[in-house]
Amino acid sequence: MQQFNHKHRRREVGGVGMYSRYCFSVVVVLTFLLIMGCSQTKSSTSSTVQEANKQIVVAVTQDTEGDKLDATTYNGTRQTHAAVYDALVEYEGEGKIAPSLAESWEVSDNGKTYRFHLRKQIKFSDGSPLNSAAVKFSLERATSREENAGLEISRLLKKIEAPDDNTVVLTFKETATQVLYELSQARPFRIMSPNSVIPVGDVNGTFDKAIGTGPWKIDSYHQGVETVLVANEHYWLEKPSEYSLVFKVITDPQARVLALQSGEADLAGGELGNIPAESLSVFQNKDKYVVETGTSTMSYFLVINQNNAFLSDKNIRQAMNYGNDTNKYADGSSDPIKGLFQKNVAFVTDDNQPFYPYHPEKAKQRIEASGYKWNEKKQLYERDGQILQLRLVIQTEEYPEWKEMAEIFQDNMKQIGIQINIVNKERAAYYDTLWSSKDYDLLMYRTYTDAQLPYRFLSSLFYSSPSTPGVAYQDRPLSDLLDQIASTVLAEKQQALFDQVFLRMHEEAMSVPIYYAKQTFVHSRELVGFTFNAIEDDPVKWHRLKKEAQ
Amino acid sequence: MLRSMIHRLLMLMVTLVLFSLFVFTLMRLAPGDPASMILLQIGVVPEQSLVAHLQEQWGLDQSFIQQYIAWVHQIFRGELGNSFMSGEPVLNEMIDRLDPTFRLITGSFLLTALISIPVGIWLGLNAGSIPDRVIYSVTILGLSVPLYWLAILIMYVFGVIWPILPVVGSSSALHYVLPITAISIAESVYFIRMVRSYTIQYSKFSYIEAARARGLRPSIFYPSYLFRSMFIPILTLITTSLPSFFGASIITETIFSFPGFGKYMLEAIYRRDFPVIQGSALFVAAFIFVFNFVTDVLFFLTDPRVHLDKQRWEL
Repeated sequence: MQQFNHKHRRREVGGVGMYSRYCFSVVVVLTFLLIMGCSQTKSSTSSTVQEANKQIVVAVTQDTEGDKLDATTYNGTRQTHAAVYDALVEYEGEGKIAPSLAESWEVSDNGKTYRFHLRKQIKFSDGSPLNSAAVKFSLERATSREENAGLEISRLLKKIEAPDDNTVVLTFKETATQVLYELSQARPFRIMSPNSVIPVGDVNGTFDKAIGTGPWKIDSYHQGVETVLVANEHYWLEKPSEYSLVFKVITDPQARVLALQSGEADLAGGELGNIPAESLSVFQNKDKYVVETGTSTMSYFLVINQNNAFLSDKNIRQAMNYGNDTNKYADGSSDPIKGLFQKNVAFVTDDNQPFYPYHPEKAKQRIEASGYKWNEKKQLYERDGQILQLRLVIQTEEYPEWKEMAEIFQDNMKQIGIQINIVNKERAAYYDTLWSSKDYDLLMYRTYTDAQLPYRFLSSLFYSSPSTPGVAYQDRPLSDLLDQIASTVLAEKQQALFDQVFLRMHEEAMSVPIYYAKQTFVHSRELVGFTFNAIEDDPVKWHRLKKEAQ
Repeated sequence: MLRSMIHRLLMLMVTLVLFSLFVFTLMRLAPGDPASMILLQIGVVPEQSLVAHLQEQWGLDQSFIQQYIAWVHQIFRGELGNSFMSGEPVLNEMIDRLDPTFRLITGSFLLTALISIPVGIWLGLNAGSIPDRVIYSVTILGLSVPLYWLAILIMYVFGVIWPILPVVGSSSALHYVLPITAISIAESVYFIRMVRSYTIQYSKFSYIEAARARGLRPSIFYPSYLFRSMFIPILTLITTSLPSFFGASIITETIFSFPGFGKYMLEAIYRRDFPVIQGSALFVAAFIFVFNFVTDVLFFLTDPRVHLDKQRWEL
């Protein structure tokens, strides 16, 4: 008995010893974690209420990279480029170009010389004057960069001259027809001060600070969080804003909706931070929010792989167009689809873009004309025992609405006896499919926008050269027409050529138009002065926004 | 002991090398090419000549073996290369992004452990009671709720319906409340269930029952007998859950727009930014390996019955 007690005591003592050791290690770990946790939760930059009232917060998906906003690069986002830097000329929509930093310009008859007359008395945000030397510096810096090599200005430029302080002359090796359009874009040909780089004025200098003539300048930048812009007091065109403009990174679409609802963001939408279509109902019919809808030049369409055995047959391509009830894509609320391009795209007129109206019977006739037989059991067309089925590749990271659209298309095609199998790919894999692997029968894509339409879009997707086949479609006559457009200066002649381009694309049924995109923004009722800009890359006249208590 | 620890560390090194090779291979097998992605990202058509130029600049035109050797070489120099996208050193970018993630994981880890372990034990000791049944059913519900949805729901409740907390960003301590809560809820339901079942299981062991039968005072019985015996499984639970906390932080950072490490990694994957993906994956793996190693040592310290020397795979 005594022995037992003794043993028991010993175990107990041992137990307590172990316990304290265990206790000690737990306490050490917990204290360590606690110290780490607490020591870092104190953070700065909480803004006061007053500051918040003087800020306009815009929710955006991508980081603005405000510390690298070199006008001649693609760093940062387009809307920030356009907010900080001005272009020589401005794109007004429907193919028209308006003066901006250049108040007038002349183009030689052969399209090889462009002479720009700069507006006087314009100052950069650092107070230095805008002159021909600054323009020459910016354009030379842009053309010297490798990634701009594909642009017409870089490809064809021979020299830039500055005969006096307010004149810039660009001379090209060949006829250049896209110069004004390229200059009007958000980048890379906007004008930056030579003081932006170190050493000052060196074309190959290191970028230091964003100095432009636009309505805004960069105040502060916090990577992955936000960029704060403040008014450029030297802005020349309109009154500078009294507010600071904050581009706040909010990646998740639902989080953008919640941030608008909670008041942490004042404005969101468009390409820079889209609001999912299904969430728009949250903001409708309320006194608190305003939904702004503006036009867009973008269209969604299906790229056709003509190497597919079914799709190499024109009848099938036409049948898909006839069988595609486009009213279903936007609940019939958007403009009816009449051809690939929206009517506000340059060179598109009321009657030069033929299209296939919805006509399922005609669609079936076309399919039968190619020798396909209706299989009653499967409710599909088939030939030689093979049913008519196609793979449609989409992605939903950038364009979540494509999923629903693909399903509607699938249903449309089922009505005319074609089976569509939807493949939703991750973004990088999707682009790889489009540009390299070509592993698709149909692929949903979008057109470019504004000044890039229609020529630049067509030449990058529908143009085949002997060495590189066209990305979206290969057609010799179409490529020849695009070649002719590239060497035509006169607008009337270009128009006649584009008429032929649109006709050719229609006859061959080179794509299936799906939907005309719109720009939708949501902002709080408190925010007033919302005005759309002419180009989608710079969608809003930010400096006109104001806050008014309701 | 020392010998086995050195063995362990060597094994870790081998695993890391294999892992790095795995990540490296996987990246290059994935569809999507970084040069095209960066060009598309900036709105330039990925023409052949441009793609080739970038690939040459990044060394992607070299053979797989050459690329791997170059990368390993860099690691031994203490670098992880430069990001394709930003051109900045990956190591610096990673360190910048670690801070918020670290706070997020630490905070939710602590909250989860401090709440769910006591609750789990209490439920286990009172198994079958009404509170036990209620909470146990709630945890079943909790297990089936995806974190993404839970986070959105919390944001909606505390940001919109009852607007007391900010829903996006990380600029103040208040910004951490919702994301930490979201992760903790998602992890706690799992923790509570596990701890509860350990408690029930261990209470039934004969030596525990014997101790109870001897009428030991609770202040001796619980810490020295029950909890001590449960320490190893709970420590295992805590340490093995670290990767899931990391995974949860990736989702949470994206939803709450946290400029953290998880979001950084995710963006790099979307953009096929190889140096960033490789560097981050290696870093995370190294962290988890080291963490596991420390756990092993802790096992030994807490329970001498654990013999580090005689692992079957080391014989």
